[in-house]
Amino acid sequence: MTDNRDSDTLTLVDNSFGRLPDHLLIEIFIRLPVSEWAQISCVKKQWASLFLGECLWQAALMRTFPSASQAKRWPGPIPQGLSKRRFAALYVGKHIFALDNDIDEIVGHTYLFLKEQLELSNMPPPSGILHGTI
Amino acid sequence: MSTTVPKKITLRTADNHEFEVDEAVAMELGTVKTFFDENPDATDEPIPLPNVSSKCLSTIIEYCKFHLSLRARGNDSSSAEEEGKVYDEELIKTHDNESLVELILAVNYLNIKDMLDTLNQGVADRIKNKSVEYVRRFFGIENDYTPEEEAEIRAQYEWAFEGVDPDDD
Repeated sequence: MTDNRDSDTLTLVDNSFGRLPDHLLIEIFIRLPVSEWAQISCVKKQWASLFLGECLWQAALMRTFPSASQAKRWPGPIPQGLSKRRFAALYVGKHIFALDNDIDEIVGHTYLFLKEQLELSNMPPPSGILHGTI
Repeated sequence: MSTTVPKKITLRTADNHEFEVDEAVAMELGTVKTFFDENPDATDEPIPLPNVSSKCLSTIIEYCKFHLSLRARGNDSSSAEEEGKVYDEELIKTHDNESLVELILAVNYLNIKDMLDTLNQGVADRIKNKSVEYVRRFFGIENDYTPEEEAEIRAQYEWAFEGVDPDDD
């Protein structure tokens, strides 16, 4: 624990951005194009962890899809999920189906749901079946 | 009280400089406005701003004055909007990373939403479409991944590394 080999340079190196609290880092990240968020995750563990939390996705949702962030009754059996899921659904609705109204989130959720079901059915069957033990 | 002379408010920075500003300008600072909303009988004592340096505060006051004057002109022309944009760009350009971060922290403390948006966008623009190494160097960020961890997360996000600007430093 007494490794101060480069503690001086560390404080010098990790200067400016280390001082920004998480909520300000989040405000900066959500102003970058979505396609760059993966890269940001690779810069620093702490930055990556922000992309795993609800705070960032909540903020991204409010900034990118302000009309969707108002609480609404949610129809249908497909769960709306947390902000990250909602963001993905809205993104799909807007960019794949080119929708830009209330229906886009529902369409996006349906798309994600069906995609996952397809992926599930593509998975190799449990080995028990292959060996004829069932 | 006369209505022709605008009320002045004194702000005192962390390094003990005092700034006397018009009430309208002071009210642009969310933190100061909240203080007066909660203490309507506040005296003329200077308001201490322990998290703000005089360098930051003078930039912030200039910004608020300028944007107040733009708003006062109303929507008379699109030129006001254009001028605001030019001003904001100039503000970002004249700050290096270190002073930009200091300004962001001060503006966050003072709760000036528009200015914070502008500054955050400025930082975002500086790291837009840059490689991971560039972002680390540019902002002096220590890589805290082990080589194994980094290889793993990069493999996971492999698709994201196409079309990144070549490093130019």
